[in-house]
Amino acid sequence: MSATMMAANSPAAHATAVGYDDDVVRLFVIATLFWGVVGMAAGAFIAAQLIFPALNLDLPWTTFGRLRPLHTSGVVFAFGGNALIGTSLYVVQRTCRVRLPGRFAAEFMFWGYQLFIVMAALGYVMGVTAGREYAEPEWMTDLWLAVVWLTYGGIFIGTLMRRKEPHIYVANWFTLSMIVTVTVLHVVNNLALPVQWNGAKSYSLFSGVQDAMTQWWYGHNAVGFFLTAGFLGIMYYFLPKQAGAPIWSYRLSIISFWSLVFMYMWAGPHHLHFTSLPDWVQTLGMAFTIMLWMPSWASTLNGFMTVSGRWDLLRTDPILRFMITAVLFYGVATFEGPLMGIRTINGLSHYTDWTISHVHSGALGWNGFIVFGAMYYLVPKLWGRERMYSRAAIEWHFWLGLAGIMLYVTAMWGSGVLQGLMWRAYTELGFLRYSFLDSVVASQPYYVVRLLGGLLYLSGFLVMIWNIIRTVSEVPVARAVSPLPAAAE
Amino acid sequence: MTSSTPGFPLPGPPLPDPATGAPEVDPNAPERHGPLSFDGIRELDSNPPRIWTVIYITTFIACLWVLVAYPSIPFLSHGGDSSRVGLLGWSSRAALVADAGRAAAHEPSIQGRFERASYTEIEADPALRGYAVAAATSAFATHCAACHGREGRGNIGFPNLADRDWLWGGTPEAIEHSLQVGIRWPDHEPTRLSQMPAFGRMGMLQRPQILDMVQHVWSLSGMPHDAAAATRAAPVFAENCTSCHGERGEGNQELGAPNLTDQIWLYGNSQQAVFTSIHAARAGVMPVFGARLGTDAIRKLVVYVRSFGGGE
Repeated sequence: MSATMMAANSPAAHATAVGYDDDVVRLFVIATLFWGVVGMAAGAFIAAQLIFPALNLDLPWTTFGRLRPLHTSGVVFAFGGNALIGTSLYVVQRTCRVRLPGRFAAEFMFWGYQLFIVMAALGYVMGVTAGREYAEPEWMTDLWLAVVWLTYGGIFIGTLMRRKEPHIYVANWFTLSMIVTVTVLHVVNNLALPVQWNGAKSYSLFSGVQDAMTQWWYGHNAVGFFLTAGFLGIMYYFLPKQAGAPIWSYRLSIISFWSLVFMYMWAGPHHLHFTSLPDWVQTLGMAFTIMLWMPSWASTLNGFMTVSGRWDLLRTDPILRFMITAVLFYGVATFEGPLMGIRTINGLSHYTDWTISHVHSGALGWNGFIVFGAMYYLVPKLWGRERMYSRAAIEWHFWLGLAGIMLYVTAMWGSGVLQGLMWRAYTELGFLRYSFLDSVVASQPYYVVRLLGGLLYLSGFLVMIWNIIRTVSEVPVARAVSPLPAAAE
Repeated sequence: MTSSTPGFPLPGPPLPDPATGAPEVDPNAPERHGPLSFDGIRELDSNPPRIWTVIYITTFIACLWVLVAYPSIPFLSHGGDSSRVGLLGWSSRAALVADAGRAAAHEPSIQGRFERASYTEIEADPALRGYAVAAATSAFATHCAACHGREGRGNIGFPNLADRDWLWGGTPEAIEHSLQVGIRWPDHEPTRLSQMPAFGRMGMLQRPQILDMVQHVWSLSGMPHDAAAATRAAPVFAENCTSCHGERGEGNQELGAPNLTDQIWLYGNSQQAVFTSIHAARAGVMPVFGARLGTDAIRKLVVYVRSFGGGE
């Protein structure tokens, strides 16, 4: 330990000589894989419940209403969160050329984050919920998450402050914006008054339309800063690394970063079109949503152009293919999003499966695929292996995943537009032609296709886990891969 | 380069140019940090494509227009009519009023006739009746079908609307009243209300007495039964049940007391089901629809329900 620290402090120290804190990154990788299985399996199960209601099992703990937050939080905060934190700790050390500060903070943060996930999941299943979208845990779980998250912020900012590079790399800007914003969002959205001495129940500090606005201010920015800014941080490091190419435009990085950070905050009201939210808030939300289109595409462009000139790699390198496909889905979802935020289009799409389609083209295509790409890059490095165990398995994972996304997204487009049209269909006499029930019955075939897509995606993920286990257990230890603080393992 | 396959496994430094050994870089793009890099990642400083810049600026201008054309300024529209704030004069409230006005203008002329007609006149006139059925189809599927079934045939605990057995009356007026006030709806004073005692649970009858009473109840509708047991229960029936169910068990629609003689069983006719009805009593609930749907929609639903073939 002291030897590596001395080496890191010597002026001649090069990145390869620094003994980075990778133990905790390895833990985060394992947690990402574990929670990914839990979250995606929960998603497949509730998708099946929508086709076969008997799968609710007539037990309160297994009803759709309780398992759905298990799925959403499981994939967003458990799978995505562990991936985000883990990769950001890997990236920030290398792009700053210093270790993480503190001896125990990172381990505390890891186990604290897992405890948060377990507390939240148990609460969902047992019916302890604050009833806030993507923020269902009750106040004591929220307080614990605040402690853990601030520790993460301290570790990250502490690393940046002691950096040995003159500048802060773009990936770290995005991660830092996520850390700062999520802190504010989490605290404000969860302001609540506990009302029991012997239970978890609490009530939100806000009420009525203010409460709705607070929830979607949080909800939209959870997408904007957790699922977008944070994952852009992953892209800006792992994509150029894997492509072996420089980032195409520092200028676009800057424009994308500041535009996203400034505009995302305003866009939440587009979740509340046609509600009692005042007109002026709805209009503001809509306008900023449309303005977000090009800033989002700035990072899309930057990703594509970074690979430009070496597109042949897509044929030969399935890992890079994962990353570029992720960028493609990021571009598709950030085009669709502003479209759906326009009031008139929202009138058709809102409350339908179109929204589910939109979310999953972002979550499965963008978030999922960029994480898979980063994992394939990371695992050999972290465990000091020459390469992944099976290239064919990576190919299988890619095509299973892509087929799953295509089935899922198109099925939900179909049922979403169908629902929107059925709900606004009138007879010649001016009466509603269909009841809600009719639209549920009509959606059923699409739900079967959606389940199939989800299962394909999940099976691809399981292939990756198998591949990673074989990599760690069977691929020979590499001497050329560096840095290698884990070589002793 | 540790890999013999180009591009895979790729974790590693940039691929060198085969000719010069230097990393591939667009020679026209200025490089930002010169020799600086982050863990080997370098950054160019290319200009954004012109088309991107044009669209970016266009969306800004379009959104500025949106902000001026539609209400977007909090202090001007606060608490008031936001249609005066934007240049287009649009507000969600004004749009709703305009939509409702257009709908009223296109209202079928038959609606006026429907509103003035009595139930007798409506059911005698195929046009009016058909109009009501067309109007109520979706409302029934939305509000009623979950319990009573899509065709109104009911379920265990939920009355069949297509037969001639009515707990609270099957005349149009009686059905309309049931829909308006609901049945045993909590905290709603005018609701239809009655409650059979839980004879077993409240200790009014012992278990053998209830078993005898099951036989007696079966006898009322001519089902196979144990005659001796039924006879034993007759005085108990006369003392405890006739005030609501009538002397011969014919029921009482004023009290929502079921007819026990017609072999129609809301909760089933098994010994277990009838025993539970006497032991613990039943009390089905229907929501108040008066405030939710309005009288016009309820009158159409009444006609629709009676179109199943039931009613009185």
